[in-house]
Order: sequence, then structure tokens, then C-alpha cells
Amino acid sequence: MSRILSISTLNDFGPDIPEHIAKDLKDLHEFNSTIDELEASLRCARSKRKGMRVRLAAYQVSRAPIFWIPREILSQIFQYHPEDINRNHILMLVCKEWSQVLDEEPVLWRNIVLTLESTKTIPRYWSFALECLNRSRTALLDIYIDASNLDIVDFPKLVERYSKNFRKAHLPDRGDRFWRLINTRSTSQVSEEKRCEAAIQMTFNILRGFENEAISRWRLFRLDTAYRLNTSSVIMLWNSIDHATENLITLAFKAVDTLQENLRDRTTLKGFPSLPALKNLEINLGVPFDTIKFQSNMLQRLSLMDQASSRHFVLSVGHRYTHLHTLELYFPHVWGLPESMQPVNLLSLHILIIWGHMHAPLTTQLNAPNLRRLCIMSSPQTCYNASPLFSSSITDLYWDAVILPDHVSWAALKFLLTHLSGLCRIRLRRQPEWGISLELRLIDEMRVTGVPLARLKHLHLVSGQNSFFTNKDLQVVDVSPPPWLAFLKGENTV
Amino acid sequence: MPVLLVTSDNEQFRVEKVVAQRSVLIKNMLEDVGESDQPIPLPNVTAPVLKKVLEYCDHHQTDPLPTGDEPSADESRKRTTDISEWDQKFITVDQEMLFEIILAANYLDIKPLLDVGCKTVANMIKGKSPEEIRKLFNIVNDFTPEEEAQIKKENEWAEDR
Repeated sequence: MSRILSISTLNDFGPDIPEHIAKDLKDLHEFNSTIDELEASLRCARSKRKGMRVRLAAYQVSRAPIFWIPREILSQIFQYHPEDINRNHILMLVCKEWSQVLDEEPVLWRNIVLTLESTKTIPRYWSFALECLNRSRTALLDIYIDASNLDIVDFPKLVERYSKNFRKAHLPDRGDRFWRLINTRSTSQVSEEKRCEAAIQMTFNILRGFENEAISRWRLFRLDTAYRLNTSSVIMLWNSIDHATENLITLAFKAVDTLQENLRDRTTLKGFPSLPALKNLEINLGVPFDTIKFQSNMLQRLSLMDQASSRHFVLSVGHRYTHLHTLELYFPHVWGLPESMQPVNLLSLHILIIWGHMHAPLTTQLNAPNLRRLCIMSSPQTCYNASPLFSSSITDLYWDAVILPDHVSWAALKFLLTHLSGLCRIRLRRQPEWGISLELRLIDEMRVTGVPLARLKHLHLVSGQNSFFTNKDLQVVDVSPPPWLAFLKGENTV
Repeated sequence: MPVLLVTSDNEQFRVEKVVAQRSVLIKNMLEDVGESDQPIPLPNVTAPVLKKVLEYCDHHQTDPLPTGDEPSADESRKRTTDISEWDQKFITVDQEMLFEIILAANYLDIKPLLDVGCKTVANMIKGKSPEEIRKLFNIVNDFTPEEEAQIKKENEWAEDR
């Protein structure tokens, strides 16, 4: 080919050229010229096509309504579903614009949601955590660790992955104990607990960042622990959240079921972290919590999801929490609050959530004159014949009937309704299989107790289809937990 | 006292003050001008969009307004994409209207409506692959194969192993 193309003049063939060769040479020249012209045209057409494609794509993009919205709203949309570990990765691959948003917005990496379950998946979450720490730059971090189904089968392999990929950059906390933990080789139940604790501790180490750089950026920290952990392990984990003092305003430290009782080693209580900035606290450590060194008068939201702490709050320490806005207490059984006790003055309290029973001393001695919203989870029981101190200010009642109420519950609710003179909004949620009998009964009770139905602006029921109710002033709409019940979602951020 | 709102396409809407005031922008304007029957111009909103927005405001007119004295639910809102039944029906519109509503809610400063819009888009995105998202929103893949490969390489850890 190159030889033929290089033959371009008659001189290349010497003096005596046959006529037909001379003609071929001439034709060849013409073909070459034609091909050159065609190739130039082709290049030109390709270039035009490329330009057109770019312009058409730009036009198509401009026509796509999603590009109408400004970047800050796009970023806001992206922030939903933070629990999806692949979220940002997928969004980055959609187009350059979205990739750029992900690159340039540290807030899109501030939510670190880790589900610790097995040896196989944990390292992937560790990598994710590390990437979030890097990409979030200086943004404050919201960390959620769900270790409630943690099951460590091949612990040495987990330690190997940690040592290989993560340990170098992250200093282990409380070295000796940490290394004792990860060297646990026995297969006894206690050792299994220790291995779970170690896996969480390794996760903590990564989240602390190099030389504890990241821990000062923790703003929200939530840990739901596995039932395999004993109380002592949980307290040890709790104790290790030091250095998180400046910005940590929300801490949720929840254990599962078996931690409700008996702390094995009370000496571990001594090392509770000092968290002066804390405003929202949710715990169920199963021990009275007043030994914690945080400034109790700074707390705005407090959720005590165990009986011991709830009781202790009402009897002994509640009066210290002068800035409380939201309080959640757990009274699963009718049990021992004294009939007469010191009134607990909570003048800033707006929202009260009770799991279980409305004890008479609780309702009559809890002085919350500004309480606006009352939430009863399960059935209201044991309201005695004494007027609740906080009743007249309540405008919203949310009742989540998690069990079918009995006649005692109805009597208690009837008594409560009688005293809620400012009530203007009721939300009721019941189990779907119960049918609408609960709604009918509630409305009936309201009539009997003289709750002026005309004053109620909303009756939010489980279904929007309750055409049986005909009061024109009352709007019957669908129900979802009201936004002020953020505790139920585990979101306690101020 | 009713309030007169004028859209960008010069249509007038007479609405109850309590409904109009779900918009913080309008509320502030009303407070600035005091008692007046002057129409309020809304140059960034067209009539069909304002009609939808007012439908939302009317339905939610008795909802408590954010007071500022409560712990903010700003972060909580981002952790849940639940939308009530009525809101879901309300926001079941074509994409053009959906994004128009989002823009209007942003301009008029109606946070709960903006939330509903953003949650709806977030729910549309959830669980979809990049290609499915592009198709859904008519987005062009403007990456070169090399750029796409590079992003995938940087995120190798995210692949299931």
C-alpha cells in the first residue's frame, strides 16, 4: 500500500513508460485526490456530528426538569436514604453534574451509617467509613452503628483485614485492653461477647480518624448493640467515647433486651465520658444514669428506655433537668412509684412520651405547665382519681395502641380525656387487624366524657376511610407518627 | 381578610390570609406592608403551579407552624422519606409539575412542601442503577468511558465482594 502510494510521478518509472501505465498513474492521481477530498469531508462531517451531539445533549439536559432545580436542592434530595451504603457511588455515576455535586459537597458524606453484621461485610463498611471521613472534610459527622445483629464467625480473618488495611492509620484506643480483646481465641460465650466488643471497638478506632482527628467532628453518635454483649462490654464501649466533647450534641446508646438488668461490674461506671455539649441523650444501659458527668441542665431531649433509669429520674434527679424540652420514660409494669413524692418541676417540657403506664404519682407530681404534646405508647393504665398537673396545657394527644386496650386502660383514658381541657388534636394508631372498633370506642369515650368534639380540629386515625364519623368540624385524615415524635425514629438532633 | 396573589402569567388568586401565610415569604411580605389590599406579585410562579401550591397550603392550614422553640427536626427529616397518604396523592404529578412545585416551595419558603417534593424525588431515585436514573429523568450520560471507569475504580470497595 505504502509502496503504491509513494509512486507519484512519471520519473519514478524511468524514460520509456508504456501508455497504459501512464494512464494508470494519471488515474491513480485522480483517485488519490478524490479520496483526500472525501476523507476531508468525512472528517468535517464527523466533527460537525460531534458538535451536534454535544449541543443536542446539552439541550436535552436543559429540557430535563431535574436540572431546573438549584444545586442546594439537589444536594438536599441526595441527603435522603443515608443508610444506603451505595447511594453516593451510584449517584456519582449518573452524569458529570451529579458527580461534581458529590465531589464538592462534604455534607453528602457526613452521614455514616454502618451495619455491622458479619466478618464478610464489616470490612466493606470500614472502607465506607474511611471514605466518608476523608470526603466530609471538616463537616460535622452523624454516625449510626447498627450492631444489633452482630455475629462474628471468623474473628481472626476480621482482625487480619483490620490489621492490613486500617490499623496503620488509626490508633487503637486503650491499647492493652483492646489487644487483649482481639487476641481472644476461646469459643466460650464470654469470648464471643468480647469478640463482638472488639469488632465494635475496631470500628470506633476507624471512626476516630488518624490521631483522633475525626472524633472531634462527631455531632451525632448512635449505637445499637447486639444482645450478645453484656452490660460490662457496653459500658466499656460507652466509656471509650472520649475526645468527643466539643460538638457531640446527640448520643444514643441503646442495648437490646437483656441489658435491662444487673450490671456485672459497677466499677466500670466510673469512667463515663464527659460530654458537656450534649443536648440529646437516649440510653437504656439499665443503670441509674445520674453518675454521667455531663451538665444535666444543658439537656433538651432525654430518652430513658429502661425502667431503672426512668424510676430514678422521677424519684431523684428529674428536678435538675431544667431545660428539658422532650422527655421519654419507660414504665412497662405497674410498679413501685411512691404515692407521695417531691414534685418534679419541668417548666420547659413540651413533649412527654410514656411507654407503658401512666402512674398516678407520675401524672400528679410531674409539674409541667407548658406541656403541649402527650404521647402514650401502649395502653394508658392506672390513672387514679387525681387531676394530672400538666393536663390543661396539652393540645396534642398521640396514642399508639401497641396492645389491645382492656377495660382498665379505657377507664384510665376516659379519666385522662376528662382532664385534657385544651385538647385540639388527637392521633390514634392501632394494629390494622383490630378493625375500626378502637376508633369507634375512642369517639364514644369522648362523647361520654364530654370532650367537646367541636373543638377538635383533627382526629388522625389509622385509615383515612372512616366515613362513619360525621362531625363536620372534625377532619379525619390518615395518620403517621407526628413529626414531634422524632425519638421514635431514633433521630434526636437539635 | 383575603389576600390577592398575582402570578407571573398575570393570573390573580384571592386566598384566605391563613392559607397564604403558610408561605414564609408571603407572611413576611404581609407583615412588612401591614394591613393593605395591594396585590402581592409572585413573579417566579405560574398560575397552574400556584394553584397546586395553594391546594397544599389549604389542606395543611391548621398544621402547627415551626415555632423555632422546638428542637429542629431538620436532620430527622433527612432520615425518613415517609410521606402521608394525602401528600402522596397530592404530589402524584408529572415530572415537570413536580420540579415546578419544588422550585415554587423553595421560592415561597414553604419548608414542609419542599420536603415532600424532595422526598418524592429521593424515593424515585432509591434502589435504581445509574442507567435507570438517567432514563427516569432524561439525563444524558456525558462521561467518557475512561472517566466512568475511573469513578468505578475509585469506588471499588463499594462493590459486593
